[in-house]
Amino acid sequence: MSRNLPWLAELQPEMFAELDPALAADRGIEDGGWMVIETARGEIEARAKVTPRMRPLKVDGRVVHQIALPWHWGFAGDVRGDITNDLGALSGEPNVSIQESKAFSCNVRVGRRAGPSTQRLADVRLDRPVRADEDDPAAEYPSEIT
Amino acid sequence: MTTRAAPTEIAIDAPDAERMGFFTDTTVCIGCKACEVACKQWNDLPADGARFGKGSSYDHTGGLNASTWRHVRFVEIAEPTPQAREDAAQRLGAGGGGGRIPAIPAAGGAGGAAGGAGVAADFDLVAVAAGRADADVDVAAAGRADAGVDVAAAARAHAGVDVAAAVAAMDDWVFMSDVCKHCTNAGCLDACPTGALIRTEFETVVLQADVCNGCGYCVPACPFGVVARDHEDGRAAKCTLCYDRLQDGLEPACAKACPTDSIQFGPYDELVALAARRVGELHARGVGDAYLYGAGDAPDDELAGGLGAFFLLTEPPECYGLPAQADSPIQEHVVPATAAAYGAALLAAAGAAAAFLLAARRPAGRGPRALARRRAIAGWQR
Repeated sequence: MSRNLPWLAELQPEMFAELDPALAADRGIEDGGWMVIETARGEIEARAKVTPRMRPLKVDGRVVHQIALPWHWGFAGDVRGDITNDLGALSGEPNVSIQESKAFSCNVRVGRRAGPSTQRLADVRLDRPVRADEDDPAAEYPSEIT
Repeated sequence: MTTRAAPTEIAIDAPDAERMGFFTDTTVCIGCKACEVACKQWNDLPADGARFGKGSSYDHTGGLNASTWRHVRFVEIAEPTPQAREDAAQRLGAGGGGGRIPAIPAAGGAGGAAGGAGVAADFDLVAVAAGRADADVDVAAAGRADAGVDVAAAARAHAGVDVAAAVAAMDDWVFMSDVCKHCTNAGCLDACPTGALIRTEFETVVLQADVCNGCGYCVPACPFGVVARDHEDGRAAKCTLCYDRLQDGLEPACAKACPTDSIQFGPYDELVALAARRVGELHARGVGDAYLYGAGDAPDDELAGGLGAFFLLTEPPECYGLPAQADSPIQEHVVPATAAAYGAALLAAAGAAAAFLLAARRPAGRGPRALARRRAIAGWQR
């Protein structure tokens, strides 16, 4: 609903991922820039929100970084973007059959997603390869907000 | 109460109306932007081209403009500098485990510790959540080792971790719902040549879109950068303090929608008293930085003669994009200049009048030319 109502859509115009400054510096990801989140099942792209509110954890002696993703975007609506559920296993919560997997391990890299599997997941066909430094969301998801 | 509008202003006078205003308390704002949406919905304003990162932090609508009359600004007081980010990355890269990394037990680790080394009693999840540095113990590691493990030593090993400071810094994330200030000395109203901007019976400043000719004089005349021109029809637009709702005894849409009562609406004098009490309450609770912006100032320090929509802030005004000092440019510059011009004109007129009067008072017939003329006349008569 909020993707289709312009007043709500403009409050958060793009899919984003929150990550901590240390991880962002390590991967060369800049605040507001593009990043890709990869799992064994798929990859999605999002705008990076680098914030000290996301804090790495030390679990069993290892530093574990956390990435926070909203589930909010899709291929339709005034604002469009990649779908977080493409990353996780399909598993329905037994009472109401809502996607249950909320936490899983992933990798992140800077840039835009690319590749046939990603294009299949996002249901888009590009007639040219996506450059890693491409930074124009309007090219792929023309916004109806002007 | 009759209106206190300046005599030059076009004002609606209603004997039983009183000044109404907004009190925006930033200490309870949660940044939900319900006011922004409610304002757009009531006033039928379009979504106007937000883009990711247009404003700071999680704000993507940027600021007030002709179609955004309420705007919630996100102010990251603790936004780290690029250098600080580099430093944090280097600390992590060095493998020292420094930086702001809280330790949490691995799955089953805390249970094992509770059964084995008995350190679970020292592990206070609440303290970790609150960010206390002394709670920052790698309990899982301690639990794996034998009972001989010195938990205190493990805690000391993490002495470089300043979780408390990190959490304290995170608290400095403030939100402010910005709006037209409905100034007592309204720069836009002073500058408007068409009479589109008027003072209502509630002493608010309203722009009548059907009178506005789009000259744009009001835009630079606003010391707060509130008024803007619509990029489609060129006319100016700004918050009306929901004049239509006020006339029907309703509170403005933003105040109605605000879930935390950060935006309060009411009779101006009552609001100022309420706001002063709130500042006192915050000071008593230890929020010593709380102060009112735009209300309760000494006459010389007043912002634009006092703001009809004023704010409770905890940071310097500039952090919120507000000016520390503000007045109507016309009141500040044009009025003194006009007074000086009138003074100069009066002086010149007085000088000219004095010259004529002095000339008139000079006795006729004593100068050399008058003498010659008299002689000539005497010659002809002879």
